[in-house]
Amino acid sequence: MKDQFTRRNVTQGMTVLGASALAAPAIIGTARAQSQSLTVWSYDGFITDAFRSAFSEQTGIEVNVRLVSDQAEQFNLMAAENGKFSADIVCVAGHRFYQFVDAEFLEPIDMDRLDNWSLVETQYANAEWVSRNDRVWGVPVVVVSTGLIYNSETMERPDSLAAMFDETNAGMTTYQIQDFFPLVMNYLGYDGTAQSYAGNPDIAQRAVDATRDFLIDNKDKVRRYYDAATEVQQMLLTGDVALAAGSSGPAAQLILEGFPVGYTIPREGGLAYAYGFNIARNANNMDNAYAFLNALLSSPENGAAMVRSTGFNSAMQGVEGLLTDAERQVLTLTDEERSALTWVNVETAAFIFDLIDAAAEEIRAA
Amino acid sequence: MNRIPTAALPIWFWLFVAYLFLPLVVMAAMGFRDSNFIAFPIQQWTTGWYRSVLADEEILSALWVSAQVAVYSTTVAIAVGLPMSFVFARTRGPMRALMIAAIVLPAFLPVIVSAIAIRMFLGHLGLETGIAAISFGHAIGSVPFVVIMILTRLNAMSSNLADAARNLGADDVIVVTRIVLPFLAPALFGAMMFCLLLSFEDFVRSFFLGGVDPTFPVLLFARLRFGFDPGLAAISTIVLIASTALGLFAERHIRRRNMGR
Amino acid sequence: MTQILVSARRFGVYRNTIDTLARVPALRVALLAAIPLGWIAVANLAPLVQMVAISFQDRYPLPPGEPGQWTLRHYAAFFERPHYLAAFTRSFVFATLATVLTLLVMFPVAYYLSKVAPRNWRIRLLLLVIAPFWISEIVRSFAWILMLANNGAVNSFLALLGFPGLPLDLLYNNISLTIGVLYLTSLYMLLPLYAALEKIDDSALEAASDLGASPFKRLWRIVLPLSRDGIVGGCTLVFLLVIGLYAMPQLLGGSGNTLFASTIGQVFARAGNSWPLGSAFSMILIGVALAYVGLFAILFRSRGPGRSG
Repeated sequence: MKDQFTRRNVTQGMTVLGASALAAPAIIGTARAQSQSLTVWSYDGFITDAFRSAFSEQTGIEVNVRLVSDQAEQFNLMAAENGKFSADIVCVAGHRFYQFVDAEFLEPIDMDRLDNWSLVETQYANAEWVSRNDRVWGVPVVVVSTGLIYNSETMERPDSLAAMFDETNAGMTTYQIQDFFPLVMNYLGYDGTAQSYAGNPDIAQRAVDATRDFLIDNKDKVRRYYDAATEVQQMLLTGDVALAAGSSGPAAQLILEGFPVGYTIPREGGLAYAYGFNIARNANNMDNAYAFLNALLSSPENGAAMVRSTGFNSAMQGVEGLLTDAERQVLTLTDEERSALTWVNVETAAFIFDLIDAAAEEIRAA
Repeated sequence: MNRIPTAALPIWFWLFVAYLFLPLVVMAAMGFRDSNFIAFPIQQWTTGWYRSVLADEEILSALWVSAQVAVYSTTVAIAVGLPMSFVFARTRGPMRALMIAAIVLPAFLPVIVSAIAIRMFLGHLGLETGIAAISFGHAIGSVPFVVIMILTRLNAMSSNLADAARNLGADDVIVVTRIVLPFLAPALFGAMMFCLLLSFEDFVRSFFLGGVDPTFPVLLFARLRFGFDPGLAAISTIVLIASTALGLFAERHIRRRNMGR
Repeated sequence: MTQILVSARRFGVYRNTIDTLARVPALRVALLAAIPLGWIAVANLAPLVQMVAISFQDRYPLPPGEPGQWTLRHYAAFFERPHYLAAFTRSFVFATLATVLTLLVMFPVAYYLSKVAPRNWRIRLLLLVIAPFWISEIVRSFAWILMLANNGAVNSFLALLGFPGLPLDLLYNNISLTIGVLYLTSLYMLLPLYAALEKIDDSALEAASDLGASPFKRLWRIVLPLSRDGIVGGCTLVFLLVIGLYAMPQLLGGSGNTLFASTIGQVFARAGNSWPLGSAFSMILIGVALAYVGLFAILFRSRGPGRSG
């Protein structure tokens, strides 16, 4: 994290030097801040076209959306921007959430400026992955679980993570390396949160190396590594993979469309976490960001629309009543599955992410 | 003995043509599929995707960004490449070889390395990524082709023409604008078209130098990763037809002018 | 137009400037050379020089007030971690095979277009195969995904014909990547080959035929030596193109097809102190690739069939 501070200082130092080249972006920056716009980094489907145009019509604020595929991507983009963030709102609540808070990429939410906080389900509004250091850092919007997505026509419902490494599934599986990695660490008996490795980087490195080697040994099971959650859908539909480690949303969408797909939480358990919108530190369009969050939380209809476009459960109250029976059925997990879920540990030691990022490059390269 | 290879050649050629066009035909057909997902076979057909992608603001704005970048980068590449060709046409010896090596260097670097090097260089200067940065990157990639195309034509020009004009009292500006440039026109036009199309189809430079607004290939890359729908096939087909038409038009135009001389 | 330029000569400053330039060629060249030289310095060399410098830096950007430390450790990292070397080797093996394959596929095509096809059809046929050239790498990859997926066009078609053992795994492996890459490289090979073959005098081939040379002998003793420049040029272009591929291996390749260019892209995308490592990797790739291509060109020139021809 220290790295981020020093990078920002470098930029400040350069600004003081008065390099004339720096003047241009500064002027552009102000111009952008004054216009009625808002830049949001978002996952696919989180902001529906209907909501976007209705919001622009009501407020005159134009919403620019940049699609992102995962938290690591957003973290790296923000790290590269040296504190002059191009986004006003980012989409990071989830397992890497504390990493963003501790790197000072986020602005704490000013609760006085948020009109409809009470519409967030109490269970989520008070969860540990919303606040840190006694401040709230984001608005949770959807609730995600991770498990196994499988082709229900060609294979039995898998009950264990071991199916991902089974010979019978050779060349038929897919996963997102960085997200799957902590699960595999747990599966192999290591500590995926790395909390117990605090102060012992050598032990953490050994655990990561062993997990990396295990995944490389089992590379023949993998058809392809994916990046964005929705990539799984296409690979299942075209029949190129039969089994994927992934999240609930893309699976639910396929099931609702009538495709022969199943979703299950393996007996080793799965993770549950929320995705939400967070305001970038010193956002260019701070007022517009609050206007956006307020509009989003103003009606459960928005939550229901988001459920339909993402397949994820909503974190808002009153959404369930707006869904169809079929939608409710697909989105509801059995008690057994629910009990196998653990809420993601956001205290995960940040240093493990650097090790995992490097290991992911090696797994791909091997 | 003589017959076998000669008979096999056209078959091989037409197989190659089928390999080139079959995927494109399949893609164009997929754009007519009446479903939210891409799959075979196509049971119900619709023209809805073709109509809806032309109203998709994100796609239209990406096409607009691509068009702007293509025009800016082409302008810069010609503005730099033209005087550069004049210099090469006049210098001789090791200096010329060195300069030519330096100028065609970008064509010999893996594109990803050159894109990242430019990205870091702009970051060092404190310049932001975006349309200007992409245009700069594309121009760097285009200049070698501009120089080669103009130089080829310039070498074909006899110096008698310019000398005769000078003897008649024309100064250098007149010689250049009234004699040299018209003579170079086909090459210039060809280089321009080449730069436009090269810029329009580029992905890697646009990807690493781009800001918030994506160019068309970058948007398509993102959309491909977020799940397919037949609309992607539709818009790809439309762009394909448009750029192929432009390329063929340029090709014909140049050939006609070249033959006319 | 000419009128305006002629009347502009009435203004002394304009006339004197131009006439001075005309009298002193060195000055004219210097003025003309300013743009190209500036461009070469700023656009072509500076980014590369900076990249070289960064690759030797311990860390970048430097904290203010801290002196830069020079180090070779990022180059060492390449050799210490065997998995990077795996992708690197794969890149070179794949690029070499792809180049050879492209040459084998495209040589008959180019030969047909330049020598065998009916004369008045040649240009039209050439245009036909050049047409798809203007499609981006991404669109081409997309089209091939539709073709090769397990439920894609090829498998559906074979199923319709009643082939057993379907679906064939065609996508996300070496097959799809090779097919896709060939799609991208074929025209870079075709154009130099066509240009070289077109120059070969038909009468040379006829004479050889009259003297009883077999088609193979004609190919080996006449056509190949005379098209050497086209072959070397095409192969160089194709090889460097494949070495730098970034998007296509991600879209068409599978878990075992990561090429080194993708690794470089990932290293740069990583947060933290990754620029020096990525720069060192880039330098290694450039250095080895150019040396490899250079060696190939030299070998081909001195020992190839060229000497016998």
